Amino acid sequence: MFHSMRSKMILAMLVVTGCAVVLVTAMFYQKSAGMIEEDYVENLYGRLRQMGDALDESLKEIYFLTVQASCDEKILAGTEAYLSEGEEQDLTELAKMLRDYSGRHSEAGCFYLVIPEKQMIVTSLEYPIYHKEISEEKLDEIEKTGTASLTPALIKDPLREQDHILVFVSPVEADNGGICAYVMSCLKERTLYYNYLDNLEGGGTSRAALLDENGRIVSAKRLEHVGMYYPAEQEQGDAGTQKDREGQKSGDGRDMIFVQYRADFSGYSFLLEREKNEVLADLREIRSYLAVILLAVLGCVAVLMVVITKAMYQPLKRLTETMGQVSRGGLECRVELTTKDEIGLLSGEFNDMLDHIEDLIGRLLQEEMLKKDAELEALQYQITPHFMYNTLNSIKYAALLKGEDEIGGLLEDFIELLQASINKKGKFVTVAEEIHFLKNYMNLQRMRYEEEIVVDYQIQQEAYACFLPRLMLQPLVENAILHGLDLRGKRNRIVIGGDVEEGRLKLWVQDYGRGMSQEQIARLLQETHKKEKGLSGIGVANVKERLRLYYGDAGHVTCVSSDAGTKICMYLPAYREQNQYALYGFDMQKEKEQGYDQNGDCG
Amino acid sequence: MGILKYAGRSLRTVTAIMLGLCVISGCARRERAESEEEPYTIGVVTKSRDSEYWMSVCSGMEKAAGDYRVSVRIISPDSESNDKMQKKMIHDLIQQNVDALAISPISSYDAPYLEEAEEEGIRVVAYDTKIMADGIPYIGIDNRKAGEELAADMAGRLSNCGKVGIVAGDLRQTAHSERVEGILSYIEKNTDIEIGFVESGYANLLISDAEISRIFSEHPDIDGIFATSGVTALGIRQYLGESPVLVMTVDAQQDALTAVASGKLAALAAQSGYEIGYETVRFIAENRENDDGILEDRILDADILTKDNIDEWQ
Repeated sequence: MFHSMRSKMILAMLVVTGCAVVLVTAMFYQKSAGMIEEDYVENLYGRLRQMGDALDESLKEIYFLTVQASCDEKILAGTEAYLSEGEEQDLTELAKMLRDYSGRHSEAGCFYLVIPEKQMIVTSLEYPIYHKEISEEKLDEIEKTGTASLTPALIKDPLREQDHILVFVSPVEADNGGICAYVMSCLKERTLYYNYLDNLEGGGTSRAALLDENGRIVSAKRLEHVGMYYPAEQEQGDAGTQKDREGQKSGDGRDMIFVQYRADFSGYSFLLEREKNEVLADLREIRSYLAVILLAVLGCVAVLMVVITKAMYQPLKRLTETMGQVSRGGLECRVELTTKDEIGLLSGEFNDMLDHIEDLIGRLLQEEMLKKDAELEALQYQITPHFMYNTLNSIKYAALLKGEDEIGGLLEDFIELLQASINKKGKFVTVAEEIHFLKNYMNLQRMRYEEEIVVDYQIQQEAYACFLPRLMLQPLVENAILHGLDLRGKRNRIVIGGDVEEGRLKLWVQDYGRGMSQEQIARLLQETHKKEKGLSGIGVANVKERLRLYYGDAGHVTCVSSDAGTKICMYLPAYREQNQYALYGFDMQKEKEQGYDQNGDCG
Repeated sequence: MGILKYAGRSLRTVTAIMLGLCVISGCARRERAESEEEPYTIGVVTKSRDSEYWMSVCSGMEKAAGDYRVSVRIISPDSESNDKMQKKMIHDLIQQNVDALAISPISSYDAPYLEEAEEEGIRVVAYDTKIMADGIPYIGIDNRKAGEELAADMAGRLSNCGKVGIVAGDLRQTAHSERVEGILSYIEKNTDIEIGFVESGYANLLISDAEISRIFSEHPDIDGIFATSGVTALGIRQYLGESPVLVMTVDAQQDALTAVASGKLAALAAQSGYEIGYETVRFIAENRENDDGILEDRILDADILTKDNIDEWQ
């Protein structure tokens, strides 16, 4: 499935993009959740502090009124009067004074004046104005509360047993220092709940509570929790550890957020716990939204990658397809070049390589064809060589027997020439052998034309030992005789030369005849069709082509002509071993030449 | 298989990077250090609750409490004369087991609560007004010196002659008695100024028109009046109207400062309630570990403000 470069690229990009997007999203979500939670807690803490401070102010004010009432001389006097005289009128007056204190603060539910000696309570209420026969336990509880009255105490209302009330108690001291009564301000627990906690809870899973300094619940939604230690499920516990004055504590096994604020004056704590899920509900919506965005981004990336990689991959695909066709034999196929990038460069190089291979194969084929032609011709000539040699030898010996030494000599020349031109053995001969063939040929030509043809051999001694393909000079001499010499005009001299310079063999044939026009020269060097006339049917163009095939650029033919005659030069490497050549196109040539230069040998 | 192996390796690398980043982002979450320090509570009792001076004292205390990470429980009696109520409140604070008590006593000489506080191991500090008992440090202005400086200013204005009177608060409070002593001491030693009267006992600092009227009918030739509290001074000034009688006092509440700026009050020994409150809590907080050592008083500066220099002071 992932075998193509394109699919790998798409997969890689999807993985990278997916990871990046998931990572960014996860980090964003984490950060957002943290910030939301923190801001929420901060906000909640602010509310709790506001509420705690407001409650503190109220409690402070009620405490103040309580102490003020306990120091009120009129209350003291009224109490003392009642204690001494027992007049009900005094109680009515006391109730009125208490009502006055009660009216000074909206949250102070009522004021009681507890007179232990009479086991009675005078109230600021409309009814009852006073209540007698208060139990000893109740009075003890009130007296105990009075010893630490700066913090309100939670007790059951001595007049209404079902009600929880918060009370400040302050003793009314007589001038002699004795306590004759207690002023008790009462704040109903339900008043606290509805004025403060109900607002905080605000529905949902939130639970709010007001705790005293010891972690005991002073007010909560469920009345049965009042008086218990927090958490509400426990009668007693290590609620003290929750005293986080800074007001923030989040997280536990149940994923709840706790916020707590403890007020300075009363020491009471507002506590609110809320499920984290509720707080982060909005964020969960964002999470779904982010998931959709993530999928959409990945989808877009996938589509984009398909389009982009298609454009990028097209040239590569064309290259691989062309390679496949070439490997199946379609050498003529070429890659279409559409880009200039690395793939374009590679395709261009591949095309060049194919061109090169095709050219080489063409040349090899051509050489093979030439060889085939030569072999066929040789086969043709092989039909009668023995018969011809035998016959010609018989004629030669008959002529010799009859004293016709000249004819016998000519016949011998002809036989040797025939052997040289037909013989398959050894494609290469030495310059000396080639000159020998030439001499035979010239003897025959002189006889044929009955004219004196002067041949001057100017062969450097060093050149004699060099090898060259056989019958290379003969076509040049033949060309000179047929087209160059003017025998009647006595311009009948031919110079055949040869020398070796810098490892190069130069052979030339110069006639001093009529000369050739440029067209003639061009035709001479280019016409490759088989000659009808002449010894071998091989033309100068054939010589030139053979040189190129054998030696490449190192073998070539030049022709210079004027009215004074024509000079055809042939250049080839000066090899001293047979077959020491390379086919044109193989770069081994130069290496071989270097090999000769260095070692005098060739592999 | 190759691609799967490669993908597996890549996946491990990517996962490692992701985990690394998650850890970094997790660590980057704001952590709120929770205070493990044991809370230190200072119980504060003022003399009164409604005047600007006492409100500024409370403001300074609350600010210092925040700065020095202590908590303050401030309670106030209804008036500067309600000694009984103040003592009851001090008793309640001691019962609450506060760590230290800062008291501005209504009565400097009657402090039965000191014994109770000592039993509970609660440090007591006096501010604004001294508690005349050994080992109780005081934080506030030097009231005697403030009185002397006001007297010097008055003497200068009256060219060391003439007649002046003093309207003082409750002389059971050293803040008032020391100011009076300072004034009297300077005038007697350095000037020919006659002291016409020393009226005291205006414990609630307010003085009725009838009282003022009585004083001025008894001493019609008075040239200057010293009042040991700003509220009293302002009441007298209001009664006097455009009269050239010079009125001087000790205070730093806004209406007194305005009166100085407008020339209604000739001079004012500026006692900053905010500074006293702040310095009191700071003093206690700084010495919270020094349980047994005897602490020195911390005396604060009281500048004499007149119409000429009040702009610079403000």
